[in-house]
Amino acid sequence: MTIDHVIAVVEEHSGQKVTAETKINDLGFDSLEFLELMVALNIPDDRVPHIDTVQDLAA
Amino acid sequence: MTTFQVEPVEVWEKECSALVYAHWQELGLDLDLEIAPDFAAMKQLESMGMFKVITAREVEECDAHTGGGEDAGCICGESGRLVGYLLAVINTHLHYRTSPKMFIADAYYVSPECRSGTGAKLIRFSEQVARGVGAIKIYLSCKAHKDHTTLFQALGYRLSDHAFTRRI
Repeated sequence: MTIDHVIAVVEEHSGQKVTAETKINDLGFDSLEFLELMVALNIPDDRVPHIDTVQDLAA
Repeated sequence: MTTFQVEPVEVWEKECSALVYAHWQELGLDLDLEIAPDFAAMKQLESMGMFKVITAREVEECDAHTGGGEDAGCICGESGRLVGYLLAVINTHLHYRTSPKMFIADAYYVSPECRSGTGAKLIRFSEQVARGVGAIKIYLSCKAHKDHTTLFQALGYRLSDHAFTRRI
């Protein structure tokens, strides 16, 4: 998964411009919205607790 | 960033009072009862491998290691500010004594200013802990007046019970 793809998905879900360094916590998601983003990006369950920035979603 | 870990009751006990009070005020239905966690009982269960405290902490990334490279993102020094917890009893179910353990979430809370996904992360981390102790099922509930059904179902949980209480 490329960082450009991740950024596009995060921007679509958040309605905000983001960079690789943007912290997910700063985007104002609630837990359900956060989870929907994880599903949209196919993030495995065991990686979810360790997601901090947009970059982490592409790792 | 937020980190998740299992901590001894002894550690959590020293820092949890503000969060436990906020938890009780926000979600408690019996505010006439003194909030007084039985830490001794928790420690006893913990010593028997039947109790876990899972915490969420906000930690600052070390200034010396935020510039990239091998040390990027390392966490130095303090363990961070306690912003959430999930307490769980782990035991063989009374109905299924020949089956593996069950992981029963007794209580959980995340500080209101840290809720942007932290609750979902806390539950996912707790699932890893539950698997690690050999549990095969997680019991998780929520208050009727703070309904998390949609979130829990999105996390893969099945709505299985409605619970009722009555003061007598």
